[in-house]
Amino acid sequence: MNCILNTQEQEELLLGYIAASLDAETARTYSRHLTSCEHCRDLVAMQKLVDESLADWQTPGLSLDFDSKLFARIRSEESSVKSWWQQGNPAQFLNDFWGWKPALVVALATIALAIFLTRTPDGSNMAQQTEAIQANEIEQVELALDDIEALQTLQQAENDSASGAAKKESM
Amino acid sequence: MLRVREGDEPSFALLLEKHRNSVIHFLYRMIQNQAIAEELAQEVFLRVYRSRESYEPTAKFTTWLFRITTHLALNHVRDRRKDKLHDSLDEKMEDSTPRQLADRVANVEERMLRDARLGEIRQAIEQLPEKQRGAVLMHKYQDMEYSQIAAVLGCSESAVKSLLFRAYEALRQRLRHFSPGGTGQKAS
Repeated sequence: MNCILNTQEQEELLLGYIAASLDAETARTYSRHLTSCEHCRDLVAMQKLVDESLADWQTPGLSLDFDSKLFARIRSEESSVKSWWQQGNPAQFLNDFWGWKPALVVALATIALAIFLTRTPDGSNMAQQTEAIQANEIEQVELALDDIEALQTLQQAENDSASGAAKKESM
Repeated sequence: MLRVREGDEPSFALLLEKHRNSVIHFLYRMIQNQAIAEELAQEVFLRVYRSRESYEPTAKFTTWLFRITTHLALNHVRDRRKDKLHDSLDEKMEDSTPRQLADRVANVEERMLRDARLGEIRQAIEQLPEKQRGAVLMHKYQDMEYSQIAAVLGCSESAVKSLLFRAYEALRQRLRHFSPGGTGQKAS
């Protein structure tokens, strides 16, 4: 093989030549090249065989219900979307939603109540604890005052007994 | 497609009418199974319909359409390769089209040769790597230019040329034993 074309040029010219898409000048030049290049002549012959074989490959006919199946699928998809959002009418959708889902409403209310109840005891405990501390403080102050009063009474009694003894000694 | 985007359903029917056959024929030759080809074609047109509102005419409609088609076909080929060996030739005769009148006139030997060559080319196409296969089918049957095939496959024009040259070289080798100067032996 003594072809002056490189592989890329051979392939491009070959496909263009078979498809008759080369411009007139390039096609003439390539035709002249073919008269002297056995390798490229062989490529053209083989490519023609491939081309003819591909052209012989017919496809079966289309199913008669292809379009109707497709449109049925489209309608089915559209209706499922519409029923979900009621053709873009949110009020109607919400009415249906509440009408059809009372259990969900009850469940949501129960959950909210449970959250409220589980949170509320913490708050009341804190208030109760604060009240208890405050009551405890008052009691402690009262006890302290009582103790002071008792001490003062005791001190007074000691003072009285000491002064009584002194009078007796002086008499 | 722009009218379809605006919700004009009859325009979608026209679009389907115009492009349905080319999509199904491409899928059939890629997959070599008519039922699956039709199923995939349904999916192609469903996707076209679903994405009508977001469609932007940045490229030719056929390029966009074949990008969806090729994507589905390549995915199917890759999935099938995992769990299926070559059994398509068993079904090749059952879905052939009825013979043309000219075929009846042709002599038996010619017909047998033609059938054998057709079987060989189908098998050779099936055995091509999937991108080469897609490129050949778009080049041969959809008359697409290199640039359009490149846009469909998401690669450069030079990559498309390379795919096509390698694919056609493999097909020529495969049919070499049918040429007048062929050895009569299958190329390996």
